[in-house]
Amino acid sequence: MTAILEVERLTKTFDGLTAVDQISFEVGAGEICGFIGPNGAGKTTTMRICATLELPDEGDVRIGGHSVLEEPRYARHRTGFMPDHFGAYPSTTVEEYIDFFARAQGLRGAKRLSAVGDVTEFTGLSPLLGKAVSGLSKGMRQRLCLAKTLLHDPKLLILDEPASGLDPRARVELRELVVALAELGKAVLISSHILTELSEICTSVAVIELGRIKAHGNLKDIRARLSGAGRAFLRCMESPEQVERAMAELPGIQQLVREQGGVSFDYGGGDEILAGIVTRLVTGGLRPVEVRQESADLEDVFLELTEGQVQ
Amino acid sequence: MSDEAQMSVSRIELLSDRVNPIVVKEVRQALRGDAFFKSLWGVLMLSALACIVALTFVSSTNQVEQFGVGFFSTVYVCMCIALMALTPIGAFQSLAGEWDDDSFELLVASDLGPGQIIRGKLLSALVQGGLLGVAFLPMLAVALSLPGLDVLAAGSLILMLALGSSAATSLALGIASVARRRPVRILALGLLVALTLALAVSLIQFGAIVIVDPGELFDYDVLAALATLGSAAIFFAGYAVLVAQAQISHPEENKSSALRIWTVLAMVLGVAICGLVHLVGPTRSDVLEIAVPMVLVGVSPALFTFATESKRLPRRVEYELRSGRGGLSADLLMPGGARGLLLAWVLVPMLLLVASIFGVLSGDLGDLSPTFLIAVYLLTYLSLGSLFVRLVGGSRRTGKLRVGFVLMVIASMIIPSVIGSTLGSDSIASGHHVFNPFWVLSEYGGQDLDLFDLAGPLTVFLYMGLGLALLINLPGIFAAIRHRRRLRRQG
Ligand SMILES: Nc1ncnc2c1ncn2[C@@H]1O[C@H](COP(=O)(O)OP(=O)(O)OP(=O)(O)O)[C@@H](O)[C@H]1O
Ligand SMILES: [Mg+2]
Repeated sequence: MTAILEVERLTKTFDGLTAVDQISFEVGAGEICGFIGPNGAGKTTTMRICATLELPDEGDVRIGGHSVLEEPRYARHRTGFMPDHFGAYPSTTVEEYIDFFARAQGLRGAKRLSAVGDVTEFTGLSPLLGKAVSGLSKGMRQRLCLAKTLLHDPKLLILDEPASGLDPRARVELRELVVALAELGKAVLISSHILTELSEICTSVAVIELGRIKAHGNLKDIRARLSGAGRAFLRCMESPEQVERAMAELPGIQQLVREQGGVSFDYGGGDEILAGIVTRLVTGGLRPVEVRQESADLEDVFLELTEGQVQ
Repeated sequence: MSDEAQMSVSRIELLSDRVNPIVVKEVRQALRGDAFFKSLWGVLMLSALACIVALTFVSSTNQVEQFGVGFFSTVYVCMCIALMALTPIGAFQSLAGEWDDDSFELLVASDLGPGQIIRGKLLSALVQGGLLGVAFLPMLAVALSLPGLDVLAAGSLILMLALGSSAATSLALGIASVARRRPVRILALGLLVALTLALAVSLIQFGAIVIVDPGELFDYDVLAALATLGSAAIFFAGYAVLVAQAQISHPEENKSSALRIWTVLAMVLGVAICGLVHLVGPTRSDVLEIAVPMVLVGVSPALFTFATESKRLPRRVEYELRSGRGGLSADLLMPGGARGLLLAWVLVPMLLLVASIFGVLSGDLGDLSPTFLIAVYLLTYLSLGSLFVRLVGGSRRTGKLRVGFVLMVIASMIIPSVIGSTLGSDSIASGHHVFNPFWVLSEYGGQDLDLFDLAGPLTVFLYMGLGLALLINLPGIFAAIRHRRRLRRQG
């Protein structure tokens, strides 16, 4: 996996307040990185530096290997940035707005027309083309901004709370869209406070608090590192009580609870250990029909990692 | 839709691809919104009304042969107000509106470069101004058909108005670009309104003279003044556009080189134009002798800016140096305070070279020695300022540095006066000393400057100042050159 976005020891202070403090992480092609942290943690600041809108005091950001400080234009050309709030022009329709940004991104002729058509359809704005931008609802404006962000087919998408203001259907669509974009090989850095949504689509997370990265990587790895254990669900042909009894004798099993006709439990860590547990149960005469590793809960991870401090 | 209609649509689309995106957007906005049409109709209604009143007045005085003059003057006044006020203020609001609406960041994060953005804003304001102007065409045609109007005079006035309006619009963009905060913006808008009104009034006054007596237009002094003012307008307009571009470009981008090249060109061209006027003049005039210091005074704000620049090379410049791209061959033109000063030191001999060419041509080379003294004087003054700022400020914050510079200029005028008054010298107390550049220049311009009287203090001032400035800045210049060599080797 090649890293498209590389953040290197980024530091940014505002009048003595360190908003971002020595942050480093990477997002590769096809990866969706959830950027989470409490209010004021420094997410927007980091994203704005990546989008060349803010200068870091120290450190650098590389996009496709090129520094945003040395080659801001290269970065701008390859990045789609969706800010958390943005202004729209008065006396402009949705179509004109998108058309303007298509022109601004250097799209010409048929390319521009097809790009405008594609993104409006993608974001469900097609019925609103003639509507004035100033009269759009919050969610519609979010869609408009997303449409603008996608126009030039950027390699890297930086989305700052893109789901805020969207209705449930639009959120589902947004999630599907982000996954589809990642499948096309784009790198996505996405921040949100709605963790359940992020956990469904993110391939990695970066947790930030008080400007520092608390954890970065695969969600499962982070969770395993946190509690030193993975969690799994097991259902056998035999009754849950029987399974529970058999498992209680095994070492390293914790938090054993009966649920949904089976049991769920914490085990000592990786896949190897889980496979060993199942083998021992089978040799002990049990017949498993369902073994499922439970996805780590992003909310738990978040609460465990952050302390809710604000500065 | 028929095939033909579809084809014509796509042809328009293709054509619009060649136009700056901002122009397309803003013209669409103007045509959709009602502000543009309101002002258009308002201006037209007012001028029609004014014309009727003017005609009734002229006809009541029975001066039929003056009908054309009266009618044109009225239309011209209305055009001055419309083009000198509405267009620049529209451009100001259009750029300032980007900070207000939070739309600016989306704009700069796009593929549009700062040059494209500012040129787009300028062009769309000028297109709207042009539309306003076109709306006056029928009335101008009526004025021409009436008796008594000199076509050449009327045409020249309209041309001057177009130039004035374009220059004021560029200036408005420059002012808007530095006024991001709301209170500053309100102040800046006030300044702009005052400026454009003053310009409009002087255009109207000049028009009133020329339209009654078209021969005035060919008076030597008037021509000389027009040439000087015209080149000054072009210089400041260009400078304002470049400043606006620099303001909205990425902080690590090279913002000085274009401004410096423009300054060099303007200084040389300014002296050349003044010299030309001097050469073709019917009698010996003082233009050349005044020209050099005047041009220096005119561009000294630019030199202030460069001399007080932060010393660090922007990362983008470093990168370009390393990769060997870009035309940053001359150290002088690169950003950095010491280099800015070096540029000023190179500029003065260049300027004198141009001036002396005209001096040789017109055969009064002898006048160049006081000119030289004044030029070196101003340069020393500038160098001392940057030196002072370097010692006092010393930080990277160029904003503070520039405020420091202005404070230094004020202090250098006031402090000697205070000392003079405590010592009981009336003339020094009232500002007659070498540290007051305004006094030195006005004395020189008025030809009252007695070099024998001033030679002593002036020479001491020059040598001390230049020596000190060189001493302090030379290590910086050498360090900058070394830094550049190192980057080249890295690349
Ligand atoms: N322009 C600025 N001037 C001064 N302080 C700022 C500026 N921008 C951000 N900050 C401060 O930096 C810190 C980080 O802000 P940031 O907007 O990055 O947080 P965030 O993680 O995006 O928060 P949220 O979840 O609320 O959007 C905050 O304490 C904020 O007050
Ligand atoms: Mg934020």
